[in-house]
Amino acid sequence: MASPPRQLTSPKRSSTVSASVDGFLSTVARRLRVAWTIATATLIAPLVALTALALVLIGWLKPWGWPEPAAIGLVVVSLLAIVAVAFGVKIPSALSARAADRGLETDDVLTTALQVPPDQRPFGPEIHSRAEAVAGGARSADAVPLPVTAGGKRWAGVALVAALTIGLGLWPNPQDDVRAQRASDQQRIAEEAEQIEELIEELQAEPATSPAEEELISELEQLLQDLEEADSIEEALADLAEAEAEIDAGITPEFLSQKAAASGLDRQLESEPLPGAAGGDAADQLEQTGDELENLTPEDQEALADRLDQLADDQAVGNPEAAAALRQAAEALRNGDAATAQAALGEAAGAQREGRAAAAAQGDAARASNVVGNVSENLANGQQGEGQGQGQGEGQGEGQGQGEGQGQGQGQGQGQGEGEGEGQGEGQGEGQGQGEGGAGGQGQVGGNQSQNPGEGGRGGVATPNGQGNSNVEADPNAQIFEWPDFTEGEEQNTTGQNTGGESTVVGQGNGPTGAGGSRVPLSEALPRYQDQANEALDGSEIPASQRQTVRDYFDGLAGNN
Amino acid sequence: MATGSPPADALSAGEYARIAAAIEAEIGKVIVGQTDLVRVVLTAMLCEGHVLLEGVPGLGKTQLLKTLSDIVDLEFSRIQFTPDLMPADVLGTQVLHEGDAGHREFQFRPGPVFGNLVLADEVNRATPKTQSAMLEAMQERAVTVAGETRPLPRPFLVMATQNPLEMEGTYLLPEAQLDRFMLKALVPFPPAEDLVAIVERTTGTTEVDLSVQADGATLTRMIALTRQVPVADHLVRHAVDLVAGTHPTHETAPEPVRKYVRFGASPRGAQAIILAAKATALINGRPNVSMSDIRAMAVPALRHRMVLGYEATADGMSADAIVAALLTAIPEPDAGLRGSP
Repeated sequence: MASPPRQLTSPKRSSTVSASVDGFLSTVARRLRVAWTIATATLIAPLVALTALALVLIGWLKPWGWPEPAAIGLVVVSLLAIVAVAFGVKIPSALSARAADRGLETDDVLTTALQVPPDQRPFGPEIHSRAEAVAGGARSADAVPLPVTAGGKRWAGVALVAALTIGLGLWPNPQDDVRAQRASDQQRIAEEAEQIEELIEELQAEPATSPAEEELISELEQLLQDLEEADSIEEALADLAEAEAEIDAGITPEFLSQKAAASGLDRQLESEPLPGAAGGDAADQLEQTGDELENLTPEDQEALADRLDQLADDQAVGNPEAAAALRQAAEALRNGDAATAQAALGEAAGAQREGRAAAAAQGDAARASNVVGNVSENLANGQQGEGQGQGQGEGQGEGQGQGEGQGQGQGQGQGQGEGEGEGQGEGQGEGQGQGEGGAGGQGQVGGNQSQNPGEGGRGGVATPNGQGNSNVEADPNAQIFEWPDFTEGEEQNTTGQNTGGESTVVGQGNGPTGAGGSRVPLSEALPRYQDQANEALDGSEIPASQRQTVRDYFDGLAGNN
Repeated sequence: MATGSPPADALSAGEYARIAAAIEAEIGKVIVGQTDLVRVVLTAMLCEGHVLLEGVPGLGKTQLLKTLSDIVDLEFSRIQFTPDLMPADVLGTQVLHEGDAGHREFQFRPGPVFGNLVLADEVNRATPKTQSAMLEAMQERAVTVAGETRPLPRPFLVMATQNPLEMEGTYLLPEAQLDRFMLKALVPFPPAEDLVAIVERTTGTTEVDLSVQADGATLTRMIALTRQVPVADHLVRHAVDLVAGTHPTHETAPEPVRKYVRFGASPRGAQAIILAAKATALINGRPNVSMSDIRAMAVPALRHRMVLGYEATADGMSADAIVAALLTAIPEPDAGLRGSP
């Protein structure tokens, strides 16, 4: 055989083909694009169809909301992807020429024409002449037959699976109701969660945020997230209960007394400032008075000691630290030890500030607990109503009895007071409840109508058998401290300084004056307190978990009296 | 003796095809049937490639080559290889020549290899020493005698025959020499119809009058024109893939190759495929090579270039069957785009 030729093939160049050949190759390229699209669709259609069917079947078995949209999305995305890639596929002329050569069985003349210049002797002209003849007499459809029939079985299978998928998708699905219920639940949860969002905004809007409050906000935000992720009312209720328990854990039993002590001391000193104090809140006044002790006369100091003892008595329950400091200051004053008294007053001021801060933080927690409780209550109410349908919601109520002697309220729509005095019953729930009170007591029951028209009534959730029976014993004739009644003062004339002239009225107004003693019998104060407590219970400052404690407390007092 | 290389553009592709068809037709006057064999021989001749014919005696191998030499008007020499044939009998030798003035000198007397068309009959009967003497002539188209290299006339074509039977007293051609044959053709036993015609032609009184269809110069131009046929890149690539597939360790090798082939074809295999495909294209009147040309020439170009293992002999697996499996395993490549033909 001859020695290996240095060049087996002719020099390869990017040949220039005639316009007719170029145009033909362009049409072949478009045809190839369509053929690619069909072939690719044929290839992946079974996979897409089977996946879509599997998703729809999952939607039949599980109450998840995503399978059917995912199936639709899969089909749409697959189609779009195929079309997009089809437009993006690069089909060079060489590829078109090869495809046309194969399709038309032209013995690779088009491909060769692309590589051989038309002026290359001896075969260039003849090759291009043949290529032009092919391009002029052939159709792109003959060159690139669409691969439709090749995938006939595949497409038949795809059509079958697609029909089955569509049928299953359109046929009523047993999971549809579950999904609808879940969507409804999630919508209700979201609506109710708005209360928590508003509370968070309010807490964040407060100027000074303590670490406890920041922790509270964090807990509430976590609760919001949990609620967003909750799939059912039950799950949301569990989240709410957990959150409420966590919040309530931060509220001490002494919260109310602590709050009363803090605010009470502020109001006392606001209405009757301590000697030597220039103004401000109670803590400021205590410190100012401590600074001015040296300037007070012994009589003033003695009076101040008595005053401090009274204040200590008032703080004994709510703020024992402040009470101890006040007593220590009073004792020191009586002993003529101004320095110790000043230090004690400073301690009392600090205790007052701490108590007020703690009360504020717990107040926020109480508000949060109340809001969370309300949300939980609302969600639970809706759940019960929907569950009962033909509403014969059984009303449950709270009964409260009060009065001298023993008062007892019973739930189940009836409040019953026993004994003498006034009886008051409260109830909630659909239907009617009555509160009966002995000796002219009247029960009053509020109804709670269903919020869902057509679903009948919904039983209000209330503490059943709300009866107060605290064993607190109290002497009805015991003297207790009571805030001064503030009545409109008489006209006050302010005269000018003694300049020898006639006095001139420069202004008059009504101001508060203390009328009546600060010590009243318990039997007189208790009903008013209880009324105020009831009003407070209707408000939002007292958490739901603490309400019963308050009721028990006053009921106990009333019962023992 | 044609030795020049006239410009190739003196011939057109059409003229090339016409002459080739005339040669085939003229051969057909003597050789009945065997069109594939004739085509392979013609193809090898138009590539100036050597061809090895293998077949049992009496099938017309020698007759075909003698007929061809008559038609193309080339200097024909025949070497009947026998075990006692010496290299000098093939290449030529120095003889002492006495001139008119009594001056004596050695003169080179060319051997039968100095011809355009050399028929090496029953080449496998010569000893390896004599066979190897043909190596330089076939590969280099020159011989070296007494330290002097002498070029052989062009075109130079060795057409050898060998008998697959009667293995006693034969020497298998070494792989290196086999590789120097561009193509190898098998001479099949003719079908009954052809055999009837053969009998009728050879037992009567009619003598066939052959006419020369191409002289040496024309043949040289045709050979030159063959090499100028353009081949598209993907066709060359496919030829290379086929050759690579004959190697048992290659990733594209089909199972029969892995099992039966010890050594695959050399790069000369790819060269032979491409060159033969070019000649085929022109013989068929085309100015360019097609994929079908490549695949058609794969069998004659590769069948003798694979070294088969004993498993092939044990299983009766022929080289042709292995090449056929190779062509099945490495099909004609599509355009390279999904959905395209």
